[in-house]
Amino acid sequence: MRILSSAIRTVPFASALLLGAGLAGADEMPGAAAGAAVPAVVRVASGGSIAEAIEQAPPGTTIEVEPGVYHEALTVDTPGITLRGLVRGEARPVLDGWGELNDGVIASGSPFAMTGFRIQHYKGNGVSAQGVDGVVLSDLVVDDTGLYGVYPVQSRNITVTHTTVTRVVDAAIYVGESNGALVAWNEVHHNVAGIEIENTNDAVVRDNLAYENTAGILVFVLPGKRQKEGKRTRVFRNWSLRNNTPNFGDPNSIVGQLPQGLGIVVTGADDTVIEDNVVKDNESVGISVSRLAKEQAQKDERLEPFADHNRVRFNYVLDNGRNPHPFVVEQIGAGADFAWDGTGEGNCESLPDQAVRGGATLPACPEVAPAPGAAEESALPGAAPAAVPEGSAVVRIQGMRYQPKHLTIDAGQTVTWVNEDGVTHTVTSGRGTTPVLGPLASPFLAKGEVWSHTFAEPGSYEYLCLPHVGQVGMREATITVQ
Amino acid sequence: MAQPAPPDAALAARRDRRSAVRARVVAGGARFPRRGPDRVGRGSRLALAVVAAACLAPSTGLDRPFPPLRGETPTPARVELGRLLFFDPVLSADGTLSCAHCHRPELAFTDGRATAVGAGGVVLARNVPTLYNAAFKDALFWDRRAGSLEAQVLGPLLAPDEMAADPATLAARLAAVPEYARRFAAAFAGEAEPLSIGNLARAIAAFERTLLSQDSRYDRYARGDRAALTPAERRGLTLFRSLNTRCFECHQLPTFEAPLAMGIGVPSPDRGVGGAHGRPGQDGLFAIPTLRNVARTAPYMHDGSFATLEEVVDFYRRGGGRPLGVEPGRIHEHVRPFEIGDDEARDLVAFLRALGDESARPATPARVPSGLPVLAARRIASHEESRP
Repeated sequence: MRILSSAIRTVPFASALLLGAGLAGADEMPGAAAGAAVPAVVRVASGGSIAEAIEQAPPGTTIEVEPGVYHEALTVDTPGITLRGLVRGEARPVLDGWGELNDGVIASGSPFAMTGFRIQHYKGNGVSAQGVDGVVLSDLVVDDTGLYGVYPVQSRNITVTHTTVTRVVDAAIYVGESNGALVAWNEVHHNVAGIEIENTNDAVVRDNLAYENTAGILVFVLPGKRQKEGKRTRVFRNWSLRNNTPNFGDPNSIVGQLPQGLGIVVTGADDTVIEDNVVKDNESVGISVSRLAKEQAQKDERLEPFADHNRVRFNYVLDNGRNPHPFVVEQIGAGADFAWDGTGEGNCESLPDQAVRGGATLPACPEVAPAPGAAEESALPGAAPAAVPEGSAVVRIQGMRYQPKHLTIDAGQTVTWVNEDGVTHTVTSGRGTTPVLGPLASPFLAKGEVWSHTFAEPGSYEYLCLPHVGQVGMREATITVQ
Repeated sequence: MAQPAPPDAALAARRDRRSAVRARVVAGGARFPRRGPDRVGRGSRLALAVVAAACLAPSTGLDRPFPPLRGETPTPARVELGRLLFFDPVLSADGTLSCAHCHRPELAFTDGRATAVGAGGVVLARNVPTLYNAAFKDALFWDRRAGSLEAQVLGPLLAPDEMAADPATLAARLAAVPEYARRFAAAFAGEAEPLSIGNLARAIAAFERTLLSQDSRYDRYARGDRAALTPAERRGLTLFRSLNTRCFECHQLPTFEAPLAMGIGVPSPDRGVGGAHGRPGQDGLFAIPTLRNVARTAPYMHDGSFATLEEVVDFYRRGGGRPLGVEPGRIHEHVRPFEIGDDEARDLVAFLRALGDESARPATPARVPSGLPVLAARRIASHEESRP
């Protein structure tokens, strides 16, 4: 009877989920009332308990939190929870662990979103998402949270944007053993590592500012992980500057052993593209490509330790390597703007002539001029090219605008978005500049890719583009369903 | 779920996979004869209920799909044959030792000793691992040297200091027992030589594949039953997932193990994986054991050197082998000292105790085909078996 009774107990939970408004797809479930399309929103006032609100919240709830200080460690196991800090001028809610609590937030409820908080003084980590499909972390300010600032792991479809992380002992923004991640418009400084993409496929790291860390941006494949590979990371339009802070990490950890003065480091990863970055004034090496060290690699025989088919080109990489760490001198003789260890297949670089090369000489990348944005398309996760369904209304994404920006359709009609721009776009439910978990949640759309959604229920559906929310034409667009 | 859009399609596919795994496991469980006919009906209803729930529910990161069951799909005849062989001391050279002597069902298929005791009472080097969920493992033994349950079975069976069986002698002995001859012929019908040591391993492996543990109170919590764990256990689960403790990084959901070898620095001359493969870089690495039913499987570690879960948590708090003089290169970087309060350590242990599910525990047969006594007390090198 024990097994049976547990099964019965799961059924009310499933029923509750049917009413879980605000989740992707909730609006098209047969029998869902029109009113159910409105997400449940609860509010926590200063002095209240966010944990208590999470405990009470049904799936799909948005929890709005007023500015104030909250001495709490939050665990989110309910699907579809949004923690929205209400930002009022300089004031925002603060999760403060006082150096006593372990983690700011651990989320396994899937999907999960969090925006608008300051998170500080935890022993382990700021925000961790574990096993989540759909992670949105945006507009967070994370300081002094132990080993990591932001730590999505074993997850999919991750977005970390507009977040500042400082003073963490390992990686400020870490993405590990995951598939599909956008890490963009973040600022990381005074950490050991700024951004670390580890054993992860299809990550896009763009438009971030990493400075005065020990190392700016890491693309790693490390041993002892279930996911053995890290492929197709795109690192572009980042600034990695003055990452010369002496390493204050755990000397027994891999990141804690990095020499200071590193701009962008690719270790063991494949098919990485590093383009259009500004890498300057890092005192050991600006950009490096190398295999995973032997003593690490031999711990995991199923791991392929070499860095293959990585492409480094069109970067502004100058004035690095001028005060190299002794370890770097031992390895390649001197500091450098660019260094390769001579291993791996199919790597190439095209860098300014005046850039100082160290280590082995890497062949130049083929002189094929890419169409604007073509390289960007090549490695993005998400939708395959598809045709516009018959009878569908169409919104073109062209010139950084949704065209038309406001569209009215009948209930039951389908809308298809077609990306005609050379850059990646999304169609994401939002309000103003804030993404929310809603019915519109497209993957990253490269040029020529389309995404469709059928609107069953009347209402007004606002959306934005995650990567380009700063563009007036790419936010506050609406579909009105009559 | 009518919408063809990629994210939803991906979610739906994930749900389908998860339902399929559950349905297979549940249906498989219901087929086995050790569950009476009344259990079949319940099993099917459970399967339907679980599948329905899985189709409706948005995924939660805790409720992760189990890996596919490895190896041959068990048949009822092989499972029952395997169960009888498992409890039959006829397998050992001297007729005193069965698999169940070391893998005792009431101790989640461990023996309660620091290290196993083999033929003639010889004390062996390593701790007996649980058999629950062995069906999911990609490699067996503490040094991960066996790639299948069938290969694993032959290890202790033939090892001179364990069951010390001689394949030809054992095959002849089994053939002389009419019930075994009959059961092998039925279980491996159509094969030229149904009664063989290879088929003995297949039968025991089939039995072991039924020993699934997937319905602990933790699992019910993961499926959305918030009342399934006590507040202390829930605090412990949060600690388990903390980046301060980092337990979850190796003891991964939902199996609470990982298909990896890892070094934590238990002081020991045992080279572990490095010894099995002769690779020095892997010295001191051992398989990551599952934590399911961990409350039953004391003592802990490859050499059983920790008597209680409290001691194990304390070992990790201090940084594993780091303060014990173990070479740092043998210790994974995630194993490092961390500060948690004594109350938190208690919560963590409380959570570990919630990982118990022994609903698949088989009945111990009253008699086995050889007629030898089942689970009889036996002599240990230095002292009498205290708990028959």
